[in-house]
Amino acid sequence: METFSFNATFILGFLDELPPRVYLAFWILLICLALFCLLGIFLISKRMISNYMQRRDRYWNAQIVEIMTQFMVRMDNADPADSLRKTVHEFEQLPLKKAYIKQLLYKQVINYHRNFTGNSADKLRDLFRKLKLDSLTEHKLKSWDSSTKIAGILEAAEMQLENLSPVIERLIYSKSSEIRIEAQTTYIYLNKHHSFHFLKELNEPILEWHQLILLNLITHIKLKELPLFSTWLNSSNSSVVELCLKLVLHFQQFEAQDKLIQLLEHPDVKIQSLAIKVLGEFEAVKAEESLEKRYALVDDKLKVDIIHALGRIASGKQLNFLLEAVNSPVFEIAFEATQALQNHGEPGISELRKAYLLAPTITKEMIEQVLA
Amino acid sequence: MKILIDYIQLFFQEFIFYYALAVMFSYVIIALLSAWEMRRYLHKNTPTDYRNLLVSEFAPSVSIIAPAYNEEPNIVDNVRSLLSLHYNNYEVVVVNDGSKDDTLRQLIMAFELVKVDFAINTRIKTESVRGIYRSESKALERLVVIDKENGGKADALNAGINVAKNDLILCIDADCIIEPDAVLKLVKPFMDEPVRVIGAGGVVRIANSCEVQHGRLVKVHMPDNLLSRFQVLEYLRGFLMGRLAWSRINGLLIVSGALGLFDKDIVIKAGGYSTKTVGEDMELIIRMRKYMHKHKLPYKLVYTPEPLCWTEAPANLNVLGRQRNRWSRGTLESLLMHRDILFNPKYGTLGMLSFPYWLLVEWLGPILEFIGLIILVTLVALGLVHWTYSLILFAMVYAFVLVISTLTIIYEELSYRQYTSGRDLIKLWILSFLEPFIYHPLILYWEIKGNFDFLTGKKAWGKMSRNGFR
Amino acid sequence: MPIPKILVIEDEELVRKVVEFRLKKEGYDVYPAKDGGEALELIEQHQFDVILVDIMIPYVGGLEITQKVKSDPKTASTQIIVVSANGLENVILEAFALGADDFIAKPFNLPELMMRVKKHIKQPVG
Repeated sequence: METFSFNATFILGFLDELPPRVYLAFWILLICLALFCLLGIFLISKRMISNYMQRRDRYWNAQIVEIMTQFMVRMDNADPADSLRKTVHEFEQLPLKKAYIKQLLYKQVINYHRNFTGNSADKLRDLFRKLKLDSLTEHKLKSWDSSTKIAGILEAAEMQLENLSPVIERLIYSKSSEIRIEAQTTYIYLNKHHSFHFLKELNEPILEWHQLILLNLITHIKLKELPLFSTWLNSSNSSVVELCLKLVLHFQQFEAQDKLIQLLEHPDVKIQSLAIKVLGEFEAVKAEESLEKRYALVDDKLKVDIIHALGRIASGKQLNFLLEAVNSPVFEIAFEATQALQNHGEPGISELRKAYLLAPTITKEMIEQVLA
Repeated sequence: MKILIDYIQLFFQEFIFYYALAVMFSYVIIALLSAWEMRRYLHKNTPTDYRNLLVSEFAPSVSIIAPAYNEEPNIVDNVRSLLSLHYNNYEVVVVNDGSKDDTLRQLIMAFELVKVDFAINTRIKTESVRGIYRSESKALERLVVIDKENGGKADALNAGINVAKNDLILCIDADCIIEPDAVLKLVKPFMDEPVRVIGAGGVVRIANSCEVQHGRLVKVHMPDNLLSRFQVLEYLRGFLMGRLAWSRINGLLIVSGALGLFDKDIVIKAGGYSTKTVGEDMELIIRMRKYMHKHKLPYKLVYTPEPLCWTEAPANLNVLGRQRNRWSRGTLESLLMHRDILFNPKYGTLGMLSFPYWLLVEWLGPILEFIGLIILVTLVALGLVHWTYSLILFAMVYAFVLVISTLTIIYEELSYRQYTSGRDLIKLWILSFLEPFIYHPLILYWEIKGNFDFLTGKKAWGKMSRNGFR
Repeated sequence: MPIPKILVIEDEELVRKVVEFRLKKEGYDVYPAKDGGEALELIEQHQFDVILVDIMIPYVGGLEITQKVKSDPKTASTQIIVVSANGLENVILEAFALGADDFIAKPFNLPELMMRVKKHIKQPVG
């Protein structure tokens, strides 16, 4: 007691004597030291806990993979029901009551499912349901954390959990745009019917990334009936138009040609470019004239797109137009035109050979490269 | 004389003290911002299935540009690993920048290259190109090799940009090990931001002593060499703390030259890499940002905290010294070349925050520290030091550094956790105790020397000699 | 007839294991490889009847392996089934142009893969 009070007065006296700067520094020092100790303890304990969990997970994962591989190997035996029963039984030997083991199993089955289709995938889905793993997905869908929710939606789509489609339908109206779009896609995927009306009502832009996901899903489901995506090409939402252009291209919906030609005058350059590209891929001879007309009005980038499209169409009517473009001072245009002519086969190539004689060096190099 | 010393002491005590406090405060802010950004990134990308990008016909096209100068021992393995990245729509442009060794012949032999006719669209002027090579094998169609006169890294990159045919360009060091998913992970930010993304960078890590097999990293280890080990800590802090925070407020001034994905169009419009500076990666970023501001185009530069690229760090004092000398000259050069940005509200965050920070903290910091040291030595010599006070001040800074370093290690532990062995973690932590005494003074010396060399007009490049992995 | 030898080149462990064990169950002599380097070493040492190869594998890509095997007269008769996560038209065409005998997109159906392997063993070319 005696010594303590002595120390205290000593320290207080010492602090009082410090100039304000050093006094401040002293306190910062104390705070930093305390923080440092806390962080240190946190770091070490974190590492110890995660090491333990990793070792544990590795052990159980090895067991799960063992059973899963067995299941995959014998699944197309004479009696498939028997092999399923056996595997479920094997899994039930594991302490699935422990949540983390069930989580590991959940992840593994989904992982296997990702890598197989057809009969193999069907069997994996049977296994998933038999093990009642879909309850975990449902749990995830109801989580408050948005990334968990999204993970749940993606997993529901992966495992084709039609029974969860009502839960997912509710998420279509979520506040987060991220969740909305994933829910929307998955909902269509699970119900396999073309309720694409949301495209009409959509006001916000669909990010390119989400377009990609939508495209992948739409192109991978076997829809009962494919809608004409050109229906939404006059949407005022540019990103919807963009998406539909990509769909029109993927599903080769040639009916859309006239609408595509109209889109050449769309205010959004990105859409003009895509429309030109799709017309080219469709080898739309009837678009040639409109493309040529647009050529004079657009910037160099779109000019390149137009020439590329004319090269794809390759009707043979545009040889002179393309030859003129070969002499363009803009490298990209000239090069694209050279390629477009080469695309025409013999007539184009012979024109290029003729042009070669009079061409400047850089154009000669282009022709050499293209004809090599 | 006495008055002068009094003034100097006052300056030392007051100004440097409050400057140090301000710097410490900025670190705290940066640490918080980084944590926020890291959380956001992990939250957003954990459920992402990158296979969507892999299998899509609408995935953006990428040209990888790998400049190589005297890389004979590793070049074939490195190009192989570039050719087997997880991506579909990409080409690999290797630029042999007038190597004096057999880099080109190695490539020709390994990939059955032949010289081809090629019309080059020279949008950025470069040293002359001696030839373009492609493989005779149809399986290697995505490989293009440029052979050109030596012109330095920036010039080689420019030549690559002229030949690249795709919309996005990934500029890398040919001697780095790129993670197979790197392109997927860098392309994604270009697609999921509502504004135009002009560049994306990834985290660079130290590959020394790591196990490399067939040009791919298989196991991460702490380097055996002490000097490289310090760099591990330094890189972690720089990437996980510094750049991530700047990315959060769209104030990035630098995307590492070892790995950066850019919008080719903007790079060309900004004029490509400058061959007049030794800090070409930083300088280009500033110029690209300037271009976007001048044309009033909304944009973003992003950073992914994922470890996507592994580089061999200099393992001896000489090489490291030259590298740091070059870095500080480069920084100073870039800052001076674009000094009009400083405190210019036209440039938003760039002018009001990033630029002043780089000038006042990154550049001025070491200089003030150096001056402080000189004063300290003088005062000691004159017997004017109050040891107790000095000790408290010093202890404060030291404790603060320890907190920041520990926090860095925690960030790594909570996110990507590359150093899986417990011993490596402990080593890393112990390093943070030693760093202020051993590594930091060295870096300080080189930075000061870099500044000095810049002022005296030294332009040497500093060659990096490599032993090669394995 | 000797036991047919099959090489499985696949970097994803999960898939490699399943395919390996499934093929072993059919009674084939199966060699797994996790990257192009390992695969080329095995190809040097053994004469395979069928090679299953993923396109995106480390070090030496699947297409390059296909070409190497098909252009070497010693191994040209080996049947190559290219597996790819990417079923895009250009990838498939490229694979066949380089001499692949069959193509299967990932994810795949295991029984289908087995049938294809069986078919290629029954009718060796050359």
